Amino acid sequence: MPDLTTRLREDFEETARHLTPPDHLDDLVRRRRRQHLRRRRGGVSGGLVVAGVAAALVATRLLPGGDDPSSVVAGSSEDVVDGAPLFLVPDAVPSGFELLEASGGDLPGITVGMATISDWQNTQRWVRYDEAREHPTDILDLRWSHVRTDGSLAPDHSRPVTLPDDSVAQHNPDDYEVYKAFPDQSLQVSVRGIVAPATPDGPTDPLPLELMTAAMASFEERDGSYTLASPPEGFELAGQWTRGGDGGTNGRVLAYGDPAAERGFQMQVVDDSGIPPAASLDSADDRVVTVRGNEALLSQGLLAPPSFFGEGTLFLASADRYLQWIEPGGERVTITARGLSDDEVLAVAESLEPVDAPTWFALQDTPESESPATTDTTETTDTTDTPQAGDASAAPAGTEPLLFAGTYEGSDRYTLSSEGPCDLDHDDEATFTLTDGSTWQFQHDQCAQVVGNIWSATGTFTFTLPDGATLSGTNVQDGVPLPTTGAPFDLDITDGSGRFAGATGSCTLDNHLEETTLGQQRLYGTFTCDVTT
Amino acid sequence: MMRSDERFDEIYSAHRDDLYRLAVLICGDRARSEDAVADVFARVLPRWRRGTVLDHPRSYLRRALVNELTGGFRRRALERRVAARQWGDDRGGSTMEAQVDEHDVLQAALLRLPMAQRAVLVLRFYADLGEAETARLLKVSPGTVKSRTARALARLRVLLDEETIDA
Repeated sequence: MPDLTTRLREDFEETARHLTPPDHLDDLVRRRRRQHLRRRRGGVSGGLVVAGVAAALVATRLLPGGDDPSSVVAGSSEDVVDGAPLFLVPDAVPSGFELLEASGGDLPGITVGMATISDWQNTQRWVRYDEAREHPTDILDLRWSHVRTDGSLAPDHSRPVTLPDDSVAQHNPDDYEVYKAFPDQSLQVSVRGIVAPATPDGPTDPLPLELMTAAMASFEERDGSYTLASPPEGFELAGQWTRGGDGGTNGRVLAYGDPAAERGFQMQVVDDSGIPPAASLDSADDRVVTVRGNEALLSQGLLAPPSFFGEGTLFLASADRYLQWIEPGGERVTITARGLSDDEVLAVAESLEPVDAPTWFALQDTPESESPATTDTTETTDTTDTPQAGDASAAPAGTEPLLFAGTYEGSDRYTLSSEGPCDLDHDDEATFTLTDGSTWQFQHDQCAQVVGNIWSATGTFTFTLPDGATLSGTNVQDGVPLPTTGAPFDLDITDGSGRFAGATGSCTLDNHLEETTLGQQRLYGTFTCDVTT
Repeated sequence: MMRSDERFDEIYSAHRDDLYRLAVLICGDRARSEDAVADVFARVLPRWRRGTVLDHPRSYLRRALVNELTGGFRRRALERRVAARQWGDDRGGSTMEAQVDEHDVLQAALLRLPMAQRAVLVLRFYADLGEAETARLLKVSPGTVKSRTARALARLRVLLDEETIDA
């Protein structure tokens, strides 16, 4: 009997030999490429999905861009625009506000933020607004996925319904949804319609079944994607996204606030975001406004809010107002505000002016003494002992522990584990911002077991520093009662690399958790670490 | 510098099968693997045009795939759970669990490992990557690769013993 690794090699090889990509994979790849390029240009182009005058209107609304749809051609290289990032700086901020944070802009292509979770590969949101066209009154989501289907996948409690074109679909009244499968195309489609609730958490009522069946009957393929050929009267296409939409790339952040850290705002600009403002347009409380000539969403909450809160701006984690829009170049701008009126938020947005890169990066060089609110709020560490991450001259030596402290912000994704030793698999990613402003990337996997309502876990983690050095180790958490908003825990540093080769030590995290969506939590807090090499 | 799509198509043709097989072995689900491969090539194309993908497309694509699977798979695993609750099935996903008769005892045991452990075994013993390269692909330290591999093999031995006893 060969040893286990040999058996594995042979078995993998044998299995792989019989794995041949299906014929439709090439077509699927082509579709995704077209969709992705279109999304990079800012979601589906209005002109592709709505004919005539309506197209011109839609393209300037919550859809990004306003592109000439004819230029969005799969395989064309013309729809990729290279150039410097868009740096925006407000020309006016509320009285008494000071610069709290200026960061980012130097990581093109690097993803920031979190992804949305959806059951469906693609969602197209159609919205009917009130007379003033300021608040949504009805929301219709067209969703589709390319998966194998035998056509009999509707829920047990659904019932057949005949569409206006005499085809048969399924009606699922519990989810306000009409569902149809196209087995020959490996395609499943859903039309879900609701009356916009007064607030995001308010009671929801379905749209009339006739409206949803008519919409489903007009579902059609167009230019490599899908749409409603005849949307219900009064509905406009607000946006489109895929289920794996990320938070964008190359985040640029500015934050301002009062010295008391009670009122303030953070502005984040990202490229290539897969989550358009329309994804957060989900209640009558949301307001559509115009900012810098672009249609923008003013809301109490976003589907995936920015998570760039550094030291001194953590109070913005309990923001009460969000303003989000897409610039003509496709950049998504999000203003996250706390304690500001709508007018103040809008005034800040209207005052934004583009600046060049040197001006932008000069903001990040603002001496700490000129920015009072960025003073150290962590009492546990003398920042003069903190080596500058990425500075080789700061390589630690000797046996005196080095102390680090700061704040962190990230996400915890957890999934039910099938059959393995874990009940839950946790996958954490976070950015640790040290008091000197440098950042460490944190990756943490935990295997959790739940007995009754008690959660316990073991895990491994790695910090990656800007210069590539790492700190790694393990952790154990025992006896955390569920539900929890987080409990402090320690990380045991057992090894490192680069200038921290052979390091030992520990970190303590105060560990705050907020459920953001099913299976995903925001994690944030403060930390201290002692490291000995 | 803009690069030609023709060259990218060549890269796609050259690496499609490899990525697909790697995906199926890691996630155990053919439909999800198709999704992942398609998403990877869609995401990489714009970067290819800008010249971001440099001289080692195989390594780059594999890393993108692993990212897609370890991020996307977790989401989709959750989606399948949600969908199963909502629909009483997994919306047509053809899982390898359902086809277990096509595989031997070892495959069945592999499918009972957590995905992170399965990924490290596939990368080490199918893709034949060293610890350092595996660590780079999984974005963990080489030490984590080592410990995760050891844990995975230990767990696999236990599962194989169970399978043998059950049989």
